[in-house]
Amino acid sequence: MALVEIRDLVVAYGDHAALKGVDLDVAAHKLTAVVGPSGCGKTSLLRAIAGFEVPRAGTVRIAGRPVAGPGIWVPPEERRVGMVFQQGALFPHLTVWQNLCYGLRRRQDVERVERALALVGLAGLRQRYPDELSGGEQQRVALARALVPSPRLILLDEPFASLDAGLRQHLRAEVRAILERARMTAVLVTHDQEEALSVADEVVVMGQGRVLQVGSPDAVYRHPASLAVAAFLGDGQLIACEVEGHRARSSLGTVPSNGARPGPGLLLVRPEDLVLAPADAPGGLPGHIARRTFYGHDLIDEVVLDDGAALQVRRLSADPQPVGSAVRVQLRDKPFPVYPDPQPAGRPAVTAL
Amino acid sequence: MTGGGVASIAGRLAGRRGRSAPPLWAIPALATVALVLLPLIYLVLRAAQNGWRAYLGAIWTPLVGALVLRTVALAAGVVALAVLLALAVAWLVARTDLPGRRLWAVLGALPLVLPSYVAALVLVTALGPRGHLQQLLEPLGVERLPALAYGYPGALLALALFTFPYVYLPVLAALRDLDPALEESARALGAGPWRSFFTVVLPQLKPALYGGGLIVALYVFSDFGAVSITRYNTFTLAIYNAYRGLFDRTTAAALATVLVLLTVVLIAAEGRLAAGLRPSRQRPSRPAPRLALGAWRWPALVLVGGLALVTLGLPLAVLGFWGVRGLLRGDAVAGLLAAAGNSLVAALVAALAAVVLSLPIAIWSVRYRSRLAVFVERLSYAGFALPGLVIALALVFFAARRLPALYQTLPLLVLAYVIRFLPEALSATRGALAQVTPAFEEAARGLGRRPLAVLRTVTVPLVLPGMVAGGSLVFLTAMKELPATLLLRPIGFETLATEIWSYASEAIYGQAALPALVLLAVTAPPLYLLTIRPVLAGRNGG
Repeated sequence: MALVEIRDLVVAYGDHAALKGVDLDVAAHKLTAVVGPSGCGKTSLLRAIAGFEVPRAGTVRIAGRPVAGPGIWVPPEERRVGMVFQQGALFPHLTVWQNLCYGLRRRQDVERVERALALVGLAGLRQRYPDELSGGEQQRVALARALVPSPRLILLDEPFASLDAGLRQHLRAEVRAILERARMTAVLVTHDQEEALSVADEVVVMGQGRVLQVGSPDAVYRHPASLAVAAFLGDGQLIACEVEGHRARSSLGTVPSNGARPGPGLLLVRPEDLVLAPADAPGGLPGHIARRTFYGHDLIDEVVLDDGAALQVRRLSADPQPVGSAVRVQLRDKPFPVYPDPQPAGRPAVTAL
Repeated sequence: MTGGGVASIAGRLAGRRGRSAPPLWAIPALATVALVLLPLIYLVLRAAQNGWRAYLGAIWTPLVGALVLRTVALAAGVVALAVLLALAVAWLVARTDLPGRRLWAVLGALPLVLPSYVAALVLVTALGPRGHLQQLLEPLGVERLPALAYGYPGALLALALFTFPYVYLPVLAALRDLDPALEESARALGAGPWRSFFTVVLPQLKPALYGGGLIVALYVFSDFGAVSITRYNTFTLAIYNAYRGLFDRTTAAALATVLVLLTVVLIAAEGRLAAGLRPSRQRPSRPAPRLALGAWRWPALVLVGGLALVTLGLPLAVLGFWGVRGLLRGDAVAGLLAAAGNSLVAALVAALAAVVLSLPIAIWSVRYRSRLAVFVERLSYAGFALPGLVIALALVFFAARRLPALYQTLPLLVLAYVIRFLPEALSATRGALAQVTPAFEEAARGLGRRPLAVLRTVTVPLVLPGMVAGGSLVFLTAMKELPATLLLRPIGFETLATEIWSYASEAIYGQAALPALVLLAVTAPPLYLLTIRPVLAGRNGG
């Protein structure tokens, strides 16, 4: 069931429309990640749900109750929506304990503060001031503070962006676990596609003030609704193909066309969708490994085909062929998304995403 | 304020703590700080020369008690009114859609350029019992206005209306530096706009309020011009009257020590208040949203417009009116030029001396940061807290006893200016020096230059812009200085400030207006450029 229902939402600053008619349902007890390039409107969407932006048009309902719409405006403090900001926004003049108590309606409810502190595992730090906490601790306190008034949902605005990489991964998993334990509905805004895919139950991809696609992380990565979504989430290459009936024919082979319109098309091939076979194997296209980027557990090989086109191939790093080896590039046996080619004239066989 | 914090961090990064102080910097620095402290020491000796019993007898009197009460009451009233005005104007221009807010932001800071004796002069001529306002109201049968322009209300208005920018500017900067995510967090946690202002925004403004409030209170403690023209008897006026009117130097010295004690208590109190503060170090993530005032914009415009009218329009109108009358009657334009020349010379020499003396202290404390160096630097700021009248009085005692040749000469007046305004030069020089990495100097030493050559060819050229700014500030404030000038000037040596004050206190407003206009024309534009514009443009701090 949808906890937040957004219909036709328009948010504008002067002449610039940040949201151009957004429809979205946020599922209860799930973590929804809103992802998109900067300026796509994702933060405006979050702030409109929280009540920090007054929409030009459209409606927002939370738990069935309209909070923004024609003639309706509920201020942020009455929406029961928790918010976690990029740098935590802990009140610097209050201790951890006082920060957590800020959202209490009644003094008697202090055991809620205790529970929230225990939930984020920081009960020992209650007398500290925010400037005595590490970045990760500050974000956990900010999350606990948002949980204390028992909000109906929690909004997280780039909560890990100011942390360094190692801490970010660790805290991501922890925040997810905390939200699950609290059975909390949460919306997380991020520009980091890896974060969105790894942490969320549901991913909302935005671009230029609109929702481009909503789905599970697997679905939006494997079956992007458009080339724009494909380009934003993950990398890879587009292979020119010709769609005829139910099949798409390309230089790498013929695959099911997934109902694409007949005519010139583009096949989305992720780096992990390609296999490197020995040079004397049957099928595929001949080439050689020209360059290698090593990541430890996996690597990306750039294979230059005999006709000059370059392909990115990802594989596990155990026992690969050396750089310079002659190989044959083959498509894995799986369905591929096919898109009509917007500009078929002069299209090379391979276009990098 | 943040500038000092940034400078001290930069200094700690740049300097090498604990390295032994080279005599090249230490000796002139120690000599300068001795010069700064000398009058204070001499004042205490002079007050106690007839024994501690006599001293206690001189200060433990109902008169002194009354003076303490009157001075503290004035300072408290001025600070309270200044804080209210500053909060209102800063919030309106920073956080609302007030029409013309850029203009109001500038106009709110401009009263700063008016010396207190000019402000008091304007208020007295406009609002006095038979002033301009009464003349306008005379057809309506108003024969006399209540004596609002004199006594406590007059001094309160003259000081609060023209010193509130000292609170307004830091509050405005703090409001702009405040991350709106703090307020939004409070709102999301269920606090309404009022509760989030009082529980989250106001605590974050405290450093600015305390710092600005301290400057205003120190200003009131040391003010002589406004209280003498509005005839409200505070310490400075009593000291002056004891010294000038009664030739009672022992009482004057005793009163001066009590005023110094009051100042020390005030600074210590502010230090205690400010010590527990935890200002946010988080930079704003986005510009703060502006509140739509709706119909409230009309009362808001009346407030900022009325304030600008009283603090800027009224002085220009009154001074212009009297100035034109004075010119038409051909009043003493020659004397005016002489006074302007005297002001320029004294202030210019003081500015040069203060900047030159500030350099060794700054180099010693920024580049070496030994305990002694830091301590010496702290002591050099004493003049900032010492009322000009007290410095002047101490120098009078000192010169009369030890150096009669200096008494009532220009060098003694310049010395008083240097002691009083050295902090302005020093903070500018040290700030500029802290921004310059010592690697430049080390490179020059590595290329074979001796320390003094490095100073001349590398350090001074790099810190020169800061030194020029500091020197200009000393020049401008020395131009406006009144009480020390009154006490220490050579006989017959009139400056713009003394001309304005003596004519104003004899109610010869036509003669007072012309030098006031000249003083404003010379000091107001550069003061705006040096002290107001950087804060409004968000370039404060470092």
